[in-house]
Amino acid sequence: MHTSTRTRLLTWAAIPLMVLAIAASVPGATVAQEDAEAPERPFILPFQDPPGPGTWLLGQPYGNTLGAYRQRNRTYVRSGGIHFGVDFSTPCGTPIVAIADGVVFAVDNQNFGSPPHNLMIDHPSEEYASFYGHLLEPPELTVGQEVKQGELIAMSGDSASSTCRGRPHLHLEIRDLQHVWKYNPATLIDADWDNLALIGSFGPGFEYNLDNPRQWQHIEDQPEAVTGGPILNDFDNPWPPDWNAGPR
Amino acid sequence: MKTTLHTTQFRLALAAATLLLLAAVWLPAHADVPEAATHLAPLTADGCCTRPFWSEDSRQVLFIDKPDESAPAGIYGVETASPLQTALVTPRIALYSPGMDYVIDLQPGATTLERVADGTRWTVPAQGASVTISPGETRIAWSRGSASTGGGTSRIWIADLDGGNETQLAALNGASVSGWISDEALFISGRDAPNTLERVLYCLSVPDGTLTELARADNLRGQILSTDGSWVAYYVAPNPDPTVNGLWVARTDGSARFQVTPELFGSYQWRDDHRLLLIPLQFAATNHELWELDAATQETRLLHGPDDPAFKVNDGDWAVSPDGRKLVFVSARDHNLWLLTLPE
Repeated sequence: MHTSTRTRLLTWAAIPLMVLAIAASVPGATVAQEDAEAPERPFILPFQDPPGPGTWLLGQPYGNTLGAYRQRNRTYVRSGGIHFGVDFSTPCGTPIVAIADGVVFAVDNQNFGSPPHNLMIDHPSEEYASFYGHLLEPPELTVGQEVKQGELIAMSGDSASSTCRGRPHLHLEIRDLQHVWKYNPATLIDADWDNLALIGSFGPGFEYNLDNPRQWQHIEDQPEAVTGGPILNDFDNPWPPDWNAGPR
Repeated sequence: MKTTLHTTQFRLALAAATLLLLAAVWLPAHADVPEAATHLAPLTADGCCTRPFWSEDSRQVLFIDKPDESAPAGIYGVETASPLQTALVTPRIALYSPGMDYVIDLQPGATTLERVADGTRWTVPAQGASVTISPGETRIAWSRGSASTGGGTSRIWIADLDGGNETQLAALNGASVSGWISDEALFISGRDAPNTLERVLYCLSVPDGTLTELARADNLRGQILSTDGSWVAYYVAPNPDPTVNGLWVARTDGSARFQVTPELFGSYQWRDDHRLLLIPLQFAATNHELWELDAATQETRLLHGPDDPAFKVNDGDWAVSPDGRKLVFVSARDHNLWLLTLPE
């Protein structure tokens, strides 16, 4: 059958079904309006500009990453052995914005880590807090100051070098209001993570637990962690193995 | 309120029907657009699995799995000709060479190769470092030093496949082996100085150790060779010079290099000797697009999308078959493996 004829017939045949589908979809949308529930993902990305090679890209996602597994007994030992935030690769000096309305809880409190400078903002309405690490300079904010979603709050920096010649990136965490539980930002930030994951230094994925290889293998399916909690990824049968013990 | 809702529904339905009628009338005059030559089909069910890879004959998609509590963990497979029928290929999960002919076993201070066909094992002098086997399976290469930190000198070594004739070929800051261009040439990256963001790609001649520079830039990443080693794709992000940011393609003999159009910046894999497949990063896109770039002519063509909701890749997880005719990806919709058959 010629393409145009078949396309036309399919289009005609599809009309009643599509009309029904549209009609059926309306009540769901209306219910959402009536109930005015809080959005499922209340936060926005911490950048003003869209992702790209000159702005920012996804670096390391939250969770059971290969890199975190190798560092589970060192860098990440206090937070379940997983990467308890999301890293965005971005040049030093990139403007960082608040991911929601909130109140500044801490400025440059090194107990929260991620030097050289950091910032913790509480979001009481959402019952979460957001943490911004490896900042270029101390944020010009004071404890108790209110900030609005999208407001410029800091500049990104570098975790490895004050000269920005190391590993420039933003480390973003989402915690509870007691600042001890860490949650997966990919489930709370309104963004298309499948688009963001297309390019970046993310690498080949997550560590396998061969006793349950389908566990924690997607960016949006990762465990919560608590400060001082047990190591979550100290698997009996990991893949790849921990080759760190050998000389590299 | 309910009456209002029903009225709204009716009006929306009427508007949609009108639009579709108009579209149906409009379509015949614009029906010269060729049908997509690609074909999409699910390969697995139950949300299985991640990080698929291909058998050497391109007939089977392989992945790590343990489909239920009683099943062994292992490498499972699904024939592309028999979708949804997965089976255990081998319970041995190991670091295999690309054709799964050899297993590379790493232990602290010891690297061992095993020929899968007959189980023969021998130690090679890489001392626990991973090795890369040359295309003709005649040589191995590895690096030792501070490649991961870029803070010191790394040494590039080669040996025969049996571990003999161990030779140090080069010593560079932060050097690492990215692959074999041929059995006579290595593809390596390094730095001119420690603790710098600038990374340099080289072709390293095995016979004489000569370095041919292919590219250099701050934050150069993601370098992958085409199937015959004649081209390399890489990206730069971010660079102090914004015109340098983006995806690049270069010949590994050093004779040509060009920047790919910014609209196609995204995930990329080689389809064959000279054709690069690309899934552009489109921030607001609902579905993904698959493009092809011919490095030899710099021509591009859209292979699939953007109107197919079934084509959306989860976590950048996709792989091209060795014959270049198929692509497997983890679906963002259902987390299953899906097969996309490519046009010639």
